[in-house]
Amino acid sequence: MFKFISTYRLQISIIVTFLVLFLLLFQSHNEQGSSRIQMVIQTVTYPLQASIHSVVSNIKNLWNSYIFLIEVNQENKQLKQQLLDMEEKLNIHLEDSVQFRRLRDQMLFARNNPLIKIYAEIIGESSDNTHDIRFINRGSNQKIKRNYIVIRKEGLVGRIFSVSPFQSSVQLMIDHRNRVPALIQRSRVRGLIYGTHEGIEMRQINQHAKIKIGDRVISSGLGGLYPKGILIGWVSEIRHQPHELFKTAILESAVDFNRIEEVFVIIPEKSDSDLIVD
Amino acid sequence: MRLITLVLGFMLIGVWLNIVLNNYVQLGGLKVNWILIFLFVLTFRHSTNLLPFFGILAGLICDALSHGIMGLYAISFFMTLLLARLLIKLFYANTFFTASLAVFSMSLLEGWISLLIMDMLEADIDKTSLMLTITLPLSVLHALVTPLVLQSVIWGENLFLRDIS
Repeated sequence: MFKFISTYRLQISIIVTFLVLFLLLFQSHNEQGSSRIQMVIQTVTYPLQASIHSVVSNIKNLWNSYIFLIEVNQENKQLKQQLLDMEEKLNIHLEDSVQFRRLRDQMLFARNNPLIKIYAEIIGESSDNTHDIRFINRGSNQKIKRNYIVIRKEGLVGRIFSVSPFQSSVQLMIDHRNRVPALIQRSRVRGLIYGTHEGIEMRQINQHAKIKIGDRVISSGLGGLYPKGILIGWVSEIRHQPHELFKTAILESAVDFNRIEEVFVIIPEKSDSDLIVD
Repeated sequence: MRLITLVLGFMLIGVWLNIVLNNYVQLGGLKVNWILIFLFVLTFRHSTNLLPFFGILAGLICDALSHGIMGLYAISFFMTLLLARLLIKLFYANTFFTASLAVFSMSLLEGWISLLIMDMLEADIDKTSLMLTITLPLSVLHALVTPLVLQSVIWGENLFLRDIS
């Protein structure tokens, strides 16, 4: 038997191989459509196949991603630049819009108000800490003189303190040297506005005067320096001790002195004496 | 001559800082008087009688750039720098800390002198209140920025006065 096998081993091997192959060819398929051998082979080879596929796909993805990222990176840079440009444009438009609204309000005020005014921009402020002075870009070349009144749409800003050819200094209402004759609009009670550096106060108000919080305070025109009727602020607090002869009203200023950027200088109408000289 | 140029240069920088920087940067709402700090530091470092006179010029510039009462800061700067000139040995202000301390005390003195003069010229000055709310914090602020000024002065001296010192 062994002798027979060893003599015809090649032929036997070929026949067995054929038989196995035929068996494989005619074997039954399961419900999932794959043969048992196929399933075994697939199960055994899956980890290897999967891992190789994974590695290859990862390398492929990495390569593609890298190449792709270079483009994305460039695109990202371009988009960022575009975004910056757009933000800059937006900022410019916003600033223009804010400035337009602010200037339109001021110009409408200037147009509607009969007083002759010179438009000026704030270009600087006092370099010390004890005085509240602002510098404007209009001076004697623009016919500005000392003691001319400076206003805004919101109300009284101050007066021209000193003048040079190209610029002038404005003493703000809150400057501690400032004094403005004023009256309470509702009750016509008179007083004097004092600057306190932090804000403004109305002092020397008759102790029997009836004032209340929220009352509007306007310039009284007394003294002739400040025109009558310019809004100064509103009463925010009333102080009075029984032994004092006068009341003091703390005012909320109509003008926010920290935020003024442009003002109007009022050119007074010519007085009789000026006409005679002319 | 070089020292004069250096002092004038630092005064110009001080004026520029006073005009431009103070408009935008105010620590605690206070404006640092850069020109004064430069002059203090230079006075502590150079024993020349010229500096108090430069103080007059600086004071006049500050007067013109603030309240317009010409001479107020000129007098206070001159007096303080004159005193600082006499007290150089007392302070020995060659380190950042001692320079800051010296500038603090001199700024306090300068503020007090200017308030005294202001009190003579202007009505309703509450000196105590102004000393506590403005001069004292400002002196502290001056002391804090002094190292910066001292460093720039040393840098300027190395640049302009190296070969003559």
